[in-house]
Amino acid sequence: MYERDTIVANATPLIPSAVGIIRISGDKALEIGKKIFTLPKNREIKPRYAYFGKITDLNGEVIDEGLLIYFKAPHSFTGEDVVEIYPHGSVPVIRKIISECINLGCRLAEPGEFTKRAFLNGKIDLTQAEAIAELINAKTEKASKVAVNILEGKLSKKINRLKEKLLELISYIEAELNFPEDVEPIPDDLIKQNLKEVLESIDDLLKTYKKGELLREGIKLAIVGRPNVGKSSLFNALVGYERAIVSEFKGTTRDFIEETVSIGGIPVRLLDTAGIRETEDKVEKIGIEKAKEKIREADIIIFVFDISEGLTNEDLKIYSEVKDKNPIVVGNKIDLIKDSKKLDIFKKKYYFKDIIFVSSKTNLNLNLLEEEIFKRLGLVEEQDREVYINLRHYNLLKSSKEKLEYILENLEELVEHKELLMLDIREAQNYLEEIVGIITTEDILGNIFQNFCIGK
Amino acid sequence: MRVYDDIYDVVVIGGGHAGLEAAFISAKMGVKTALITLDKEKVGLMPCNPAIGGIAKGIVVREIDALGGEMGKAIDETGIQFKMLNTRKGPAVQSPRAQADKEEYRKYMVRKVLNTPNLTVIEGEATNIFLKENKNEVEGVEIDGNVKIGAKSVVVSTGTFLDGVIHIGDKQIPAGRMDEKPANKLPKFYRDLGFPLQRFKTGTPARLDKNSINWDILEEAPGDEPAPKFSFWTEPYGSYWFREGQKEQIKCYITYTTPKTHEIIRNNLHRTALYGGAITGVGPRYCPSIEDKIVKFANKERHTVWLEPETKNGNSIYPNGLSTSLPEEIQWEMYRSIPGLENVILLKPAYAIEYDIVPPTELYPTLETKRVKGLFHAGNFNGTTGYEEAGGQGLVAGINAALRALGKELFYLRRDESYIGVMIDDLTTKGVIEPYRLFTSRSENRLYLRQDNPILRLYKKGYDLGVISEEQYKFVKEIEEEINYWLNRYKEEKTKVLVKNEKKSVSAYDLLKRPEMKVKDLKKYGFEIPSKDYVAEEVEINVKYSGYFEREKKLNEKMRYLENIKIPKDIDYEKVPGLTKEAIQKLSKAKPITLGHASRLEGITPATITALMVYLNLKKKQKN
Repeated sequence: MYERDTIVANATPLIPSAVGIIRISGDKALEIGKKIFTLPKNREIKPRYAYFGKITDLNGEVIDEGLLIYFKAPHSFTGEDVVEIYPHGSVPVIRKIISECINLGCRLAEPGEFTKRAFLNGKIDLTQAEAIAELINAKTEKASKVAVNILEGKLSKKINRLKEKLLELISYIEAELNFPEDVEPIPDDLIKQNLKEVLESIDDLLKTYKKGELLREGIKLAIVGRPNVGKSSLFNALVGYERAIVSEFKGTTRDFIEETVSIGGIPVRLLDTAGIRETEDKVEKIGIEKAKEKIREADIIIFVFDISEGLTNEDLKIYSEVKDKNPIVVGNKIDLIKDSKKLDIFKKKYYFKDIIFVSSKTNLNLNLLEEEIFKRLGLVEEQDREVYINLRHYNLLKSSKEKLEYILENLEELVEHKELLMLDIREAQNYLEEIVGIITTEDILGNIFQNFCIGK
Repeated sequence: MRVYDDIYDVVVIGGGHAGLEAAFISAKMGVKTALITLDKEKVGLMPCNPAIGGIAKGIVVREIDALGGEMGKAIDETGIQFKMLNTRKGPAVQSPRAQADKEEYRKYMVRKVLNTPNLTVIEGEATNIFLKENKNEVEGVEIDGNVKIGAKSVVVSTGTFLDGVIHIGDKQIPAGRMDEKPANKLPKFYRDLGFPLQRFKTGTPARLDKNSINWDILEEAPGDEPAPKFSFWTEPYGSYWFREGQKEQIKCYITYTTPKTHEIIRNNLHRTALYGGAITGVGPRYCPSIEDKIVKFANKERHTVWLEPETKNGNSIYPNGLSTSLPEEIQWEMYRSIPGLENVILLKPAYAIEYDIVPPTELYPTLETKRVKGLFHAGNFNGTTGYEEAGGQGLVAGINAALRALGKELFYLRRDESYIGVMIDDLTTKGVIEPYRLFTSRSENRLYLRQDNPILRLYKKGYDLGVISEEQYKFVKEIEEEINYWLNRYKEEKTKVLVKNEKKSVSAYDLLKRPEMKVKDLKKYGFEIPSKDYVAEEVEINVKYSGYFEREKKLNEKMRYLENIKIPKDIDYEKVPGLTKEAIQKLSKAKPITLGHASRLEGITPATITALMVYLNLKKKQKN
């Protein structure tokens, strides 16, 4: 895969910008850095100092000027000698510098190779390596915050705590197996209790997968309601600008309109659906069918009705179609209601538990709606402690969970064969170990690191 | 100095349980072997517990037997009580244990030593080891400082003798064992060569006068019937069980410490060698002295004591569980606070012993030292405790010493095929911080490394080494074939059985899988059963554990994969990409022989192993 050669790549994307970064890692990093970077008065390069100087090619011709920082092994990102050069962010300049580095004996890094080296040199564990990829690819503030949490080792810590708990249990049972004459058997209840505790913690972590996925991929939110109750204007209010065609005539929004907005740092794909109603119009029929399909896929549904008109039979019919998905009920056009007492009547009269009264015209109470969306997603916890697992973690945790559930179901029989119980617990523990990468095969590594852009 | 022309292929220093196995197997392999011992009447002594076997240890004895060793045969002949431990749990964690008549055991070994072809016994103290000029390779051994004999390879198995010091309370006596002088010259050889030395300690309880014990009030602990045996080859040939009633067995007895015992110990802790500070060596955590137990398990109201006869007809009793380093007069008081021992007379006081070991990380898994070619270490000298552990190492060291003398490739046992392999791998990769003892939990292949199958696991290796005879080889091979025959046959043969009021066709194999079902029960369902008991037993265990083996294997697959990647001896770790300086240092020093071996070294990260793996694969590709 790689020799201990020196690798180079741009660490910033190849687009015109104020500053670009080129990263060199390996034994020859400093040597090569010195060859293409001329310091005034030939000063010595000390680690962790920024130097201003000229970047030159092999013929001594100046390519650009910029900064250089040297990180001495093992105190660098990769654990090897690293030199970073900061020229202006001109694409041809960056390309030229990289090709000069290659002429001087560097190899262009493969995607993720810097991070891979960091992992191989023991600077980070697997979950942290993954977090770097997520951090780079994070589309939202929230996603990046969570990635940072994992990068700081918060997921590893949680997994390690579970592993230790199982290890403790294993030690107890092993003592009994190895000192049958001295050690009292551990009570079955205690085994059960310990396993249950681990199982619960795994469940908690598993739950974060859905959230994590929402965070990375965004959520789908569909707005439904009878024509002209203000779906599109609510959509626009949430989007923040006029996008959907708002019309005084019913049925203007043909099929659906989709827009991604950020609500509290989470990408939300808003779907404004065509009004669902009985129609003979063929084009509109197709639109309505499509809308229904979108509604089925949505993570959250907002059901809108017009409080100035009250709940009509058509409203109730539409509501009954989405009822199963536990929609957020929104009473729109609160601006048309002059007497706030009238609202209490709505609360009493209709069978919704909670109604959020808003005005898509004046944006009144839209913040309440956003909060409710958040609550539905379970994204109201303290962000600093949050970790969200990815698919690889999810699969391993699930396998561990299934093993533990199997043990609990068959515990009565297994405590009669503790040597088999030990095997089961070891299997459960092994899955947890794989998450942080105690044993990793080349395949897993390849998988993880190919999700990187070059330069990391 | 007198120099003898005699050149031995293998010279073994020390006639304890390691040295004996080394000497016997080397002689068996047909090379000229000498055993140097201080007193030829004291070979095979049991200075501590008069017993062989125990959890995991019993399995090791059967492994020694499967590889042509002597320990199993000796205990089968001289044992006076036999038990299978952990019978309430599965066969994978069971293990045989036997009380020995230690006098008879010693005599057996003395007879054997004097009557083994190719083996010469030399009485004396090995005072130095000579190396070839300008070479790190053994050339000979100095005896008593004035005689030199030649040696192609040397096995050092000096047990607790190197700079041994006995502690009885605050009294200190230089000794290798009780009433035997220590070996104080050989440590110089090691120091001069730059070997590190570590100080270890271990202890043994007092011996009690049988006639001063009130046996009537004590709990009996009889042996098992039928009794398990250790050698596959003793009478009845080809079995791990004695015939019903074949062995006459004695009884052991059980008593318990009292609050008074604990009080006496607490009041005198400052006078024990350990807590008083006289002992600086590290003792075994798993075989704690009674003061250790009372300090560490302060809440436990009483500790169990087993009273075990040291010989069948003698009057010395070993109080298992009561080793101590209290001063002699306090020992009397302490022992007498225990029910049944109110008027007990101590024949010999309890003592602790401190001695030098060379860390086993100095060794390859062949037990040859990395520093000196042809120099092998085995037994307590490697920091282990237990006769069985010692015997297992002695066997491997003896085999390799002989192979070295013959100029052949050395041999080692893998973790996944034997407990001896587990032990040696642990020792040579992790080193020891306290006397090492085997447990079943040390193996990740416990379901396979059982007490019932050592002969099946190892007979081919034994045959290849020439330590198992043609006849034995054929005998086991036939058994193995029979086991497979019945396993296949049972998968195919079916019968109709009522399952939930419905007649269903079920294979004998699936029937046997049921927890309560035994092979002999299959008769009732109209199936034939194997004629050999051993075949029946193996078929049954294999069926019961089937599925689990696969899972155990899968769980260890990654490790086995690493186990099969050999690291060339001439590897330059500096050239391996991605290794930290720390890893380079550790690997260069430890010289692991496989990736698996490397992965178990202290402080070697998975990342390092991955980097190594990548490098080795690359090298291989380049070669091709």
